[in-house]
Amino acid sequence: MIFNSSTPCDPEILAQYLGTFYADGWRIMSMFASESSPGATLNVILRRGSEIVRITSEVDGRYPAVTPRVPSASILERTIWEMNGIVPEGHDYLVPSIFWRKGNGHPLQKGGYFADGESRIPIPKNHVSGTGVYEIPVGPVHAGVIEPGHFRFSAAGEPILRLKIHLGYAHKGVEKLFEGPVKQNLSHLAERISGDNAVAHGLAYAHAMEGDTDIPARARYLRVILSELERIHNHLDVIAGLCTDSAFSVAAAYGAEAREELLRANHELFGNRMLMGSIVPGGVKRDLSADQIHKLENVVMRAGFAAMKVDGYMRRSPSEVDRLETTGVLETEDALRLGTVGTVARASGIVSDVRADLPYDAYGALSFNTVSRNKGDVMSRAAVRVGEVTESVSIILQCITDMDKGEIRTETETPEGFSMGIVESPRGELLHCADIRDGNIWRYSVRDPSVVNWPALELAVLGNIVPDFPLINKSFGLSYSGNDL
Amino acid sequence: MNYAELALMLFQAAALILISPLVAGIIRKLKAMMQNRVGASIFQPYRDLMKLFRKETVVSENASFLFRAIPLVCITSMVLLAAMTPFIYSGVAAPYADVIAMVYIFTMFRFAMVLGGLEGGSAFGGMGSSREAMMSVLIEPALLISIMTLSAMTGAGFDISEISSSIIGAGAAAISPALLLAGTSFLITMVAENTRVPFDNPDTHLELTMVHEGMLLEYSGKGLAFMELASMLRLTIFMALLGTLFFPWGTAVTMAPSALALSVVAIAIKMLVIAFGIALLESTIAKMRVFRMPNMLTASFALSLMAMISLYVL
Repeated sequence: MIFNSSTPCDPEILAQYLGTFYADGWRIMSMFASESSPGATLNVILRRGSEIVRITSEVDGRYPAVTPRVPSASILERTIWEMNGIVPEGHDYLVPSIFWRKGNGHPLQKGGYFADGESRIPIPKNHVSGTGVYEIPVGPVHAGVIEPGHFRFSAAGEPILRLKIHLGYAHKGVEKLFEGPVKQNLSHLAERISGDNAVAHGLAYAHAMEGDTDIPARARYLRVILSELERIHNHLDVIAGLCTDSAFSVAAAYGAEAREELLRANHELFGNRMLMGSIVPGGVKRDLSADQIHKLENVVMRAGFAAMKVDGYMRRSPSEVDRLETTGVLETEDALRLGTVGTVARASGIVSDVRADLPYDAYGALSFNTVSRNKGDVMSRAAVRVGEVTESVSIILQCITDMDKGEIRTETETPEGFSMGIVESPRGELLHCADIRDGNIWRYSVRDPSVVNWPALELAVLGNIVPDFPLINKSFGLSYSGNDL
Repeated sequence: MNYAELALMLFQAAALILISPLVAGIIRKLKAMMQNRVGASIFQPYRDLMKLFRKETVVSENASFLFRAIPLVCITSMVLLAAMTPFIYSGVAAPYADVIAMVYIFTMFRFAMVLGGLEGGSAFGGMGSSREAMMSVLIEPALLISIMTLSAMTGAGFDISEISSSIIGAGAAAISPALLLAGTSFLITMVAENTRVPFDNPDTHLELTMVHEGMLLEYSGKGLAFMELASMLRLTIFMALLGTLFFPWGTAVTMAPSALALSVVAIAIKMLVIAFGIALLESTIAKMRVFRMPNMLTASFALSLMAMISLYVL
């Protein structure tokens, strides 16, 4: 979607300006700097319901930080500081996320990066003291096959007093890799930002690149089917993972089996287990035959039943319910303050879903509910996911019914200027922004839902016991790779 | 004790040690089947142990000599217990098999494990040790009282070897509330002591939830092999005790070949039933929160206390 309109703002009053927006119920979706000469342009994208506003501000090396007024800007301003070298003055937690790096300078500055030398800074300690308080460093290498992240707990006995999450180990310079001619199709790169959300990232990239081109109807429905298939396999993974982490092995095995069956069907129908390489700007790559649609219908129904069955096992087991309820509560107020999105926000009572608020592709023509709960505990997050699987099954079946024969791909022309792609990934609101100048991508910014949800995890674990952390972490189900970019 | 008894005792101890990996393998296989998985072969634990024995040992630079000594303490204490356990023949090691000695050899094993967890100097070992120590405090009285209930019931004193024969001698009259309560208490203790679900998850290496695995985390090679074997042996000994002390019917009280043959069959069936029970338990319930463990263990202690009281009241 093309989004050229913007409101300019003086950097000195940016904080106050955003503060008034925040007080009015707007949420900062993304904030990033785009180099220009001289200085840089700060882009702030705000959303309230279905309204979106872009505020731009020309800064020169420094500006008064927004974080003291809008807490959710903290992580975004830190990234701007680390990647672009622009100092948000008055920010209370300017700690780099990458502790050991090759080269000097700021990676996202144009030409300001030298690949020689390396810098290493020690990982900051938590500085919590008191009788019996000790610090548990966990990671970045974990015991399971999971992504790298360093967690530092301060605990007194078992209860957690403080948790600091240090990510950045999966930094791979994705945003920089996008910079180049718009003619080249970088869907494959977008899909690999976070492999389990390949469709969502591919779709957001496509939306950012195809401007306001009219996409063929069949392609729009197929995109919805792909998105929902991805949602189902992600949610099944988290639900099965919750059972595994609480040693509830039979339900875990059942969920994992259902997910595997779905992934194999994905491979058969779309040529890739994680549905990579399906979405391109202008449409989709593969069409489904009548036989395949029949097969899809079966597979999706089975996955839906499996999710309900695992949910039933969980609800009927007092020992499992005891583990999940009241664990890792994220209060609605905190969820709002930190600007959380997606399943995490919906489990804490914030009804927000890009598919409903800003319908894209065929979502406007489909009917579905936004599932939400208001307790904000692990059980609520699990319940939201189970509810969403059911909705996804219904959406896919509606698509199968409504879909007509036709083209699946069209030629697109990428417009100059600023364009965005906003989609609801299985984790929540995903935003890709592209600043296109003279047929080149000048700056490409990705804001994965994980970026804004990770800080909420630090809050949700407080007061819980250390052995419950894996469960809370799993219920958030966040991406490390999508966060580190 | 004559030479025949001594030979039988050594044979029994050797049998317990040799079958313990098999028991662990059977439980894993049963769990896999309940989860609709094929699962590893029941002989996999033997292969794992053989692999570990061939590997080199890496010792943390923070560790003292204790780190190397502890696997030996653990395996020795369990081998000693294997010799004391009435497995096929009830009169084993009489009159040296003492109830209190047995309970405290278990405690020594736990104590050594806790120290070993702290030796490595890693945060996870410390967490595992702290949780194990908390559980240990509650396990010990329950274990002691449930076994001593049997001693009191049969009038056998502290001699393990007398217990089975006295219960068998009493016939159906032995099935009293005291035996059932003490048996239930022992069952809970067995699950807790061997850190199975719902107290701990033996399949996980999730760093933050581990109890038993946390303490073993720093061990490698032979040390780990000894610790693993000792843990498997501990489970097998507990199962054997449950089968021969609390439900002794079938166990040989004389050294007649026919009685011994019957006893082998009986104990095999009992062990399989217990293994099935453990697998079923682990498949149907989730792991408890750490702070619920004391409640469960206190319940176990209360049961054993009630068993002891019922002996004198009823």
